[in-house]
Amino acid sequence: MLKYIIKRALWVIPTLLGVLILLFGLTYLMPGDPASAMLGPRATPELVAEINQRMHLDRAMPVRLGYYLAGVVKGDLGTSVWSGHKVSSLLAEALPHTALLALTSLGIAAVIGILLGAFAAVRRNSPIGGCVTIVSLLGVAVPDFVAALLLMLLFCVLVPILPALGAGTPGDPVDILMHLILPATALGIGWVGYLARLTRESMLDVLDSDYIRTSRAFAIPGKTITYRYALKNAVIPSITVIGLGVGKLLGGAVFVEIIFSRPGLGKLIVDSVHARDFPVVQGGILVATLLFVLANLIADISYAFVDPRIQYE
Amino acid sequence: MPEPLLEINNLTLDYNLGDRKMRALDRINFSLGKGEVMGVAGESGCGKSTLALAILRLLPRVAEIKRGEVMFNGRNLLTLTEKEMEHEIRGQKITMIFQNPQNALNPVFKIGTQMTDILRVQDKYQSGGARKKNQDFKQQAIERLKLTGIADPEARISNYPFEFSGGMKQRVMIGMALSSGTSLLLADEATTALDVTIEAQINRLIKELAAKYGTSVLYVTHNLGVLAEMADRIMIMYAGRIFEMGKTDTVFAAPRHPYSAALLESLPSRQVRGRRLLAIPGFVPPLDRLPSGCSFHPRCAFAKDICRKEVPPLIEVDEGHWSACLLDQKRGRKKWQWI
Amino acid sequence: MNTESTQQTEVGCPPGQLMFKRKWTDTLRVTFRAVIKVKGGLWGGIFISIMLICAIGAQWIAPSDPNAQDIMSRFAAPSRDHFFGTDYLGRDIFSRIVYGCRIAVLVAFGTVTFSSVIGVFLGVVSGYNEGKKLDYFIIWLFDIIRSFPQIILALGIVAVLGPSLFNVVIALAFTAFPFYGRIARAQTLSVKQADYVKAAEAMGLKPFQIIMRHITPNIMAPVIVCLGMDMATMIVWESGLSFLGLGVRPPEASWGIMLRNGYKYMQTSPWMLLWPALAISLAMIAFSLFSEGLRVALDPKERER
Repeated sequence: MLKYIIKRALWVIPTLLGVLILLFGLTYLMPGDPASAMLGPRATPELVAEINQRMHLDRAMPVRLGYYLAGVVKGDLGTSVWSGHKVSSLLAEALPHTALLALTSLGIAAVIGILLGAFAAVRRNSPIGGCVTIVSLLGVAVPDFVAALLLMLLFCVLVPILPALGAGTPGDPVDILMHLILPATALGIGWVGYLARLTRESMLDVLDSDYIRTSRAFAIPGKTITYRYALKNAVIPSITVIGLGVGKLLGGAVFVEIIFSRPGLGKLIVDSVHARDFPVVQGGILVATLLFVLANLIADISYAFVDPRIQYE
Repeated sequence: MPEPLLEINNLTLDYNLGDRKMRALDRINFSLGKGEVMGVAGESGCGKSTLALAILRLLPRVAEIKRGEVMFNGRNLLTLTEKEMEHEIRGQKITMIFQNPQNALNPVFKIGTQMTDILRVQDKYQSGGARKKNQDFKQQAIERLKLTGIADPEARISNYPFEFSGGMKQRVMIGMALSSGTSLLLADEATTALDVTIEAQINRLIKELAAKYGTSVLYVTHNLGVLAEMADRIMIMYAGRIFEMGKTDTVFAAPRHPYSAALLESLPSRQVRGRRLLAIPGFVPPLDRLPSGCSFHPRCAFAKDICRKEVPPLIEVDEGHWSACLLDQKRGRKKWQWI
Repeated sequence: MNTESTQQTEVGCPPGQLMFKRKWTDTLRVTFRAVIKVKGGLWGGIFISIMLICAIGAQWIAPSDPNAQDIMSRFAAPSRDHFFGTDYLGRDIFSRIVYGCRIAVLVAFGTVTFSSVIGVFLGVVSGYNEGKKLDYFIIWLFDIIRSFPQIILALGIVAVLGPSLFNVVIALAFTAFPFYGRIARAQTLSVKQADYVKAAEAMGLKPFQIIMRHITPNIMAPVIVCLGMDMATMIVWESGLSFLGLGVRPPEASWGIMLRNGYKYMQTSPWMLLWPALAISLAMIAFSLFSEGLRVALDPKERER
């Protein structure tokens, strides 16, 4: 197991190196001179020269890459072209909002989805099965940003009971929670349905399996069979899906944050794209990617704990 | 004949698959004595496994027992509550080992965990939950493994099932299924998925342990050859019915039913060389489209008109030897010659 | 229908060969027939057909020019003149939805074609050269791109390339191709072991011929299933990018742009938001039903059920 974990963790290093090179290479895709492109109509010869010097844009490509990598390792992601703030401090401000949103919706979706799916599998003919089908169909049919728009229309415009914009007053937990309900629901609803369907299907397979029959033949009580033996087998597919899903979740957070005007990572990236503030865009994408890579690493490692067979595959 | 342990009377069972209704067991009658090994043989889909599952009431949802009784030590298992089944019968008095050992153990729990869980449940039901330590159960599990001939059980107990071979998994199952308290073991194709050499070892183990604890065995298989060594008596099933039942030696020497004769004819034997093995033409009919009369008649080389019309009853043709063929009486003791 | 399926599952006979010897239109017809037999597959097919018809014949179906402004009837609620109402410039929303199909279909087919061709090619090459340096390089490449949250990478690419329909297609295709690559590689690894590939190798066929004639046709089933689902995702992401103002440029009628306008005028005229949302949802349902049908139709195990 340890060997698998180390191997899995070491593979992250070359991947991250590639990620950095790709992010760095993106600047070369910019049509024309990057400094003028970033400054747009604001460009004056002095400003262009300053940007060029600050971002080492006047140097040869390998040297620039070297500067970039060295900067990232030191935690220096450059400065915003627009505001002059350090990119790292802008990100540090935005990150907690996104983390709170993503973790809330994922956590709630995982718990509700898996339990709903398990329940639907155990009570095969109850209305819960129908609920799972409807929720999972909704999750497929209504993508997160459309869900965000519809929820906003419903609960902020037609029946105005929840706040529409912002992340709430800092230090006021109730207000923060009220501001979290709609975005988290929009982001999580697809996952509830998806995980519920996944868990139900694998749970049905597991409950019909030979080893559950063995447990029944040896008089293991029904509740123990369902929630100790079967559920552990049935959540295995969900773990990988959740790991991969963090990428979609972070992507979805971009839209949800824009719609609900939450000052998170996604909003920072999109605003910077509009402002052509490329160092911030670059830094934002890097942080989102790091989070995603980390989530996948955690998912793979927990997978190894749940499913012992993984080591030999 | 020893004192009967299990008596099955007139057991009839249907599978309801949507609009299709299949009779999986049709008026099954037999009894099994204490310490006796009864072999159940037949082609796939003839109801052998259903019979074993019906005794423990582990049938799939679609199954419906129409009538009959399963008398075990004088109690009808079919009328017990689910709780009584769990507390007194399953895993204690009656145990079962299954066809495919590869899937019989939960892949994500250690062997030891699965064994101690079962032991703990058994202990709880037997002694009303007199508190024992986990260490005791672990020790008990190790002893069970040792009995089944698994090397180094102290270390093996913390392995996962995928680290065991098929034969070893089946040994684990036998270790769990056979103990001093077990009166009846249901072995459902227990060795079918194993190599021939392993198969022989496992069968020897079952026989040894069953003899040691005085356990009766209902040994379900499609391999008649194995039964020659394993079983005291055998029962031949076809399409949910018993076709022939009797002492192993008697049935092997002089089968009274053409189907049994054909099954024996299709066994390779060491004595007769150079003879073609019989392949019974056709296949077992689907249970929802059984032919009229004797369900075997379309494949039977001896079928007469009467076989198409009348369902043959299971009658005692000799002492302790039962057969269900309409032609048997007329043929007398003459052997069925298929080839 | 039955004869084809048995032929394809015969042992030792390359199913792809049969598919090639048969006319490809026949293969298409057989598959399509199998898909619409599946519950839901038919509905998916119908919806997708409607979308395609709208996309091709938008100028005949739409009652008015999608960009014709009518200042006198701005924010009109749905009525007989404008089935779906009008937007903030008085443009007919129904016409814009119909024209929006065109962009949705273009993006869906465009990205999926680009990404699957590149992905499958790299995946097969990588799988065929399993364990060699080339294989590791391609896996590394896939893993790098898969490390990014997909839509965020697409956002970054559009940010540098500048927003336009073509750039959206390029950006989305770039983020999606490693997923096809992974599927193709895994499939190749198993197909490579098949007897007919070994036989072709023994006969001295060049690797390129083996890849093109014996491997690629036989790994397509899971790729095709993935195509269906991916098209739905791509439609959503195009709408998303356009919603953010980073996709198709206004005044083009994209559902995403319509959502963006609907978002602005949500308080006064909610229909501006509801119609494009409904269109996206229907497209999602259609493509997922259809790809589910494809999955069942192309999976021999499922087909026997």
